[in-house]
Amino acid sequence: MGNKIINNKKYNSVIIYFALLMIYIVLGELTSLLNFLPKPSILFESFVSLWSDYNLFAELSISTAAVYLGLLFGIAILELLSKYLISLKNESGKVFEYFAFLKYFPAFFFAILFSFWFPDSIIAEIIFSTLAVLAILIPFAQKAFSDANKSFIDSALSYKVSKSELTNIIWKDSQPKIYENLTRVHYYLWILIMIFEFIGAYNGVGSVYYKAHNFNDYTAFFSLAILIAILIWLGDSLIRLLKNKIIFWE
Amino acid sequence: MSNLTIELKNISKVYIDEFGNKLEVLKNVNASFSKNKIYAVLAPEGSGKSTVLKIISGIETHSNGELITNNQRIVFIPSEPSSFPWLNVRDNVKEGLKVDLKELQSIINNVGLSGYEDHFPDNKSYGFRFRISLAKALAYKADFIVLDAVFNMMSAESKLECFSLIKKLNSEGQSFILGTSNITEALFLASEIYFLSSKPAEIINKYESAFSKENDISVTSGDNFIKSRNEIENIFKKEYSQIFAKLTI
Repeated sequence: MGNKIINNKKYNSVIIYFALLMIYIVLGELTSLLNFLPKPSILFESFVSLWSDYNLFAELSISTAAVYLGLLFGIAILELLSKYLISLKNESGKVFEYFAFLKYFPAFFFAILFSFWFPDSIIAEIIFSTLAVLAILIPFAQKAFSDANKSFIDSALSYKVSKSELTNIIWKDSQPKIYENLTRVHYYLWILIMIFEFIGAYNGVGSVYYKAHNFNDYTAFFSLAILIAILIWLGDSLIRLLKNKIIFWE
Repeated sequence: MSNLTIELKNISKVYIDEFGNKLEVLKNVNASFSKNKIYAVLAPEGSGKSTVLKIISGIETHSNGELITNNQRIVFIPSEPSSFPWLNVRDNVKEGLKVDLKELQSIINNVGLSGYEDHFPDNKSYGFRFRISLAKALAYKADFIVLDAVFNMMSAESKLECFSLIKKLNSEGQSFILGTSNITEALFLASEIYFLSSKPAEIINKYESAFSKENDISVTSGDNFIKSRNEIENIFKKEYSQIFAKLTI
């Protein structure tokens, strides 16, 4: 019954999207009612020209590498630091409180600063991306550690487990709470990386946007946005799939 | 020499908050527990019952008094499920313990989890998860298993099955200390019941139940059982009417 309702909802969404696409194609191509949007035929041509005129394959590879390597390295570092962060749970919480004011600074500021220090460097871009992942995930981790399941801890203590075993229990219990935010981190990361590349105007999808802006290529804004939306959607699906496979418990 | 194995002598517990305010949770708690029995600590919700049980289990420290455990192995099973959702039943039971596979299987069978060895506890019932915790305590060869209001969230069916399981394990020599706010639960399971007042909690009475050897739950609707339950209700009502409302029947 429940599955049937979900399937019907999905089916309805597909119909709505398809109808909207048809309306856009008909009205955009045959009338001037949608002249604030690029014509469908021009948009289609733009998809093709992006690869040749803007060298999109290379630029997309750089941005994708920066996002996903940053995500991978960020998670790996968090995994490595986890036991240390748990053992310093209370103290590190205080340290993070002192730096809490940084969250009011726009991400743009950090991107411009990093781009200024390390101009035109792909490695710097990956480091920036890794630091961004850590900056987003560590507060979630701190919260998860302080909300660790009291029953697990009490029960483990009565078995006189070692400190490292207790830390391992807290980490396992915290993982689902931390990694449920991964899709959000993934989205933020794409935005941050594009800002970083737009400011640097040297490589990546952000630089393609920069060039398109300089060339007043209005259609390219849309075709690029559609491509990136598809990439983020694919990335989100992959992250969800991997997360559910690896961290299967809640 | 007496066969007392756990003894609480004038145990007190005072919490001090960040502003320096003192909260006395336990006051001069005296109790003793021997092996091969089921004890209950009957107290209203939020009275400090869990604190007593945690002190017995060595999870919490006491502020004053003396706790004698004679190196007994005491396992605490909290009211919320404590089996790890990232491990299957078998791994949960043997996690951190040295148990040979044959013994492990026999323990799993004994608690009624045979056939579920590879199942993960996530999304399983409270009764199922309690059995895992119980199996782990048995694998650890706990002398005393301390149960902190473990039946509160179970379905009626699971509760009855777990009552039978506890009675069966007790008949095999396993000792239990049960913390509960439910008079029927205490009367049906335990042979000796300590009554605890509210904060600061003190032992106000000790009661010996004649129903701990009964295996049929229908005994709880018998006249003798109801009479005993009324007696306990009256003990609480008499001097502690304000906390009686927080007990369940």
